[in-house]
Amino acid sequence: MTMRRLTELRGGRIYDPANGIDGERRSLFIDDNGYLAAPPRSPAGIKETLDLEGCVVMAGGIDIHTHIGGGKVNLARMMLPEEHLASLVDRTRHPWPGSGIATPSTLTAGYRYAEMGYTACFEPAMLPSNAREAHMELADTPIVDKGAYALLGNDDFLLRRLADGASDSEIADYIAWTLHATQALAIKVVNPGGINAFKFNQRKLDLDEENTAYGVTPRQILLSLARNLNRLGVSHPLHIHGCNLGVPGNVHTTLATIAGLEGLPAHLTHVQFHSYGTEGDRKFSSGALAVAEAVNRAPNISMDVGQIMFGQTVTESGDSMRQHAGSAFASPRKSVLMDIECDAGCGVVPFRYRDRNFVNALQWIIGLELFLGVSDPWRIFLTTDHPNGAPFTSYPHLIRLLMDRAFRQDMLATLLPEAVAASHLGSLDREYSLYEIAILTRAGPARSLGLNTLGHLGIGARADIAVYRDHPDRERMFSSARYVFKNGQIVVKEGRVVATPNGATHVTRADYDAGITRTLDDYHARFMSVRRRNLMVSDAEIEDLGGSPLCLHPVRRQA
Amino acid sequence: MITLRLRAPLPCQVDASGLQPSLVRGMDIAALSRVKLRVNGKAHPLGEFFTLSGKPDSTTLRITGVTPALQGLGNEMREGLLLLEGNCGDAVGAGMRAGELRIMGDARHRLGAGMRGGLIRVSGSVGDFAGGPLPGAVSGMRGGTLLISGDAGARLADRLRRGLILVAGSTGPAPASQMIAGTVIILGAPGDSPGTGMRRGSLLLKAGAGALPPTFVQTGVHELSFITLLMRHLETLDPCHARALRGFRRVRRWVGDRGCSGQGEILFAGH
Repeated sequence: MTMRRLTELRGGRIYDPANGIDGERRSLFIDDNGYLAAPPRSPAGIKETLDLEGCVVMAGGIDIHTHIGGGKVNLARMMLPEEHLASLVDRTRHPWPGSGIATPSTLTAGYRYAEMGYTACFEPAMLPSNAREAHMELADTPIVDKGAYALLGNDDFLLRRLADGASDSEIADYIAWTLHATQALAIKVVNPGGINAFKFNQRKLDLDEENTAYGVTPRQILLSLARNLNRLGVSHPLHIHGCNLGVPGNVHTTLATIAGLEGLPAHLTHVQFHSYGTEGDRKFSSGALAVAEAVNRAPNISMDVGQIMFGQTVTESGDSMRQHAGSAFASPRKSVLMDIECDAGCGVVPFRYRDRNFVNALQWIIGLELFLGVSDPWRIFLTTDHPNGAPFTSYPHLIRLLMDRAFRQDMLATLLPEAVAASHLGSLDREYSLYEIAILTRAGPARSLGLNTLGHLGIGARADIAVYRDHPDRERMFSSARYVFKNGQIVVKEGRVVATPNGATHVTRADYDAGITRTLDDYHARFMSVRRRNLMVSDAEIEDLGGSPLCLHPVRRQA
Repeated sequence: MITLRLRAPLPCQVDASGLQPSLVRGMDIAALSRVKLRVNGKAHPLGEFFTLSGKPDSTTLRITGVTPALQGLGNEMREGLLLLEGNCGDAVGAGMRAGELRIMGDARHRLGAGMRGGLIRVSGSVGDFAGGPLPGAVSGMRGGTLLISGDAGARLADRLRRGLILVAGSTGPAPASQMIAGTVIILGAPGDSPGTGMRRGSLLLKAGAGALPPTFVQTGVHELSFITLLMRHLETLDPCHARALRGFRRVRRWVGDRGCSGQGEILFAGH
């Protein structure tokens, strides 16, 4: 028997919440196939040793919600040419040049994520009719693993079938077919039914308000999708961008949504934009504590925050109803709003968050109140809804805000005093630990998405590892990893990209009855501009054209 | 003044945006010749391509033998005097903030694109979109002065937002297209359709225009006091061409483009 030769990472403090390891000093062993292995029986089994004295070791970071692929990303890039001119990356810094901060080029996005120790990113809004382009864009993003959530809930087909009282099994088949056809990992719903209602001149749609064209309510759509995803056994529950994003008073909609899910598992995304009250002189206040309490009480609910940071960014969303309202505040003053193949919409609105603006300052506060208010770190994930709240490159700053109370208070003191006076943030003393940060950015997302070999450092896990030099300034520490391993290969050294392998594409598949394909064939022949088969993204397109190995995640076995 | 003389033709396009007047302040020739220039993805010392001479006694930099292969000359310039002898490439002086840039020769497209301040003088002719926007930007030049002794290409002063542009020669089609505000003077023959999509601002034409867009409205003959002020201002910058403004004492004024907000004006001299 040939001895397997291992690489030893020695002396680092390990933070691996999935295996309950909190800062223990121990060695990790990487085998030749890029997986973590058990310690060898004799020292002869060790090929080389890397001394990580004074370092913090975590699994590679996982971003559960970041808009880095698809048509809207390209629109945003074209709308902010000045950002690209101002952020050209010198060729000595990265293997290939690129540009962009809020709208990074594919290469720059991959490099920047890797430099921060992230090794997997998930695009949360892939329109089924746009899936091919989204996957090609993700394929062009180097180093990181990727995956995408398909958008349902505003498509003409689903709304028609719901209006006609379709059975759960038909909807489940349709969901399973969509997952397969678009090579998706999960299903997302954006402003359920609202994007569609916008096309029929409705400018808002509450949870129980009917879409005038179909007579279907957002509540029906949410329940149908959540119930059937659960029935199919898809690991990541319905990814919900709820009704009334950004509307003062939408905290009530969010609370009603949580209650209305009737215990079904669900993930609420960028909750910061959905936690606004109407108290105070300006009729805009924080609803963060109420939402955090509701989430704390509902074990079926997970959420990510969508923290905002001050500065220039661009908002990209499928929610054309809300983006239409937001376009009045565009900075620079331009925007794109469009329908896409009756699937959903698309709205791109550049935006600058200002710390001297009452609403923006309170948005910043609300995001942090949510982080500090939700008690279970396994059910809250660290996001800025890149680039809607801020570019993902602000994660290290955000981590410092969570871990360092004094720093948080200093930053709070620089905001508009009226906004500070209207918040409880100053009285919240909680500081996140490194262990909890590892849950928020690694273990939690991996568990929620059902990625068994990612987000932890146990034996058999993929050797996607981030090594940081321990430093009291957590922003500095997390900005630039000392080493990053991807599949056991060193891709970042001292904060610099040294290798650019292709990451895998994570997908999930559930069985569906062939009857749905016949129904969809007829539907596409009658109403759509392409045939059903043209819509489907094949495995070969991902693996051969995209150069990205497919990583298939089975659904849970049904009892 | 420090002079850089390009010794031999460059092997490829070179990013010369670092060759700024501010660079020469307090730097001796030896130190300057070691400054790095990126050529083909690698850093090379300046001395490899240029012969350096002169004294660093002022923030004045003279570059002779300029070719279009030197890209980004005077980009984002903030101070001093930059003298360019030879024919320049695209986007010279783009994003310039202050100082003076003199070109003894021609310049290609997008001269002074998106500039915010300072003065650019060109002895020869320029390409399209002089004083216009950087690709994709909302507005063109936002301040400063552009004095062109020769001709200009198509769409001079496109989306101009503020500042003064004078062209002594003729221009290509649609000068002052989509102009937002500011002042443009053309002493030679303007191209067709001047002021297309103009929102505000003044376009002064010495010669008759071939075809004015149909969305302009004539408002009669005027004597405008701002012409005198403009003439006095130009006398400090360019006395020779300032004299030509005398013809604008009485002007025929057209207002447009009524196809958009339409508060711009085209003023014809000699009435």
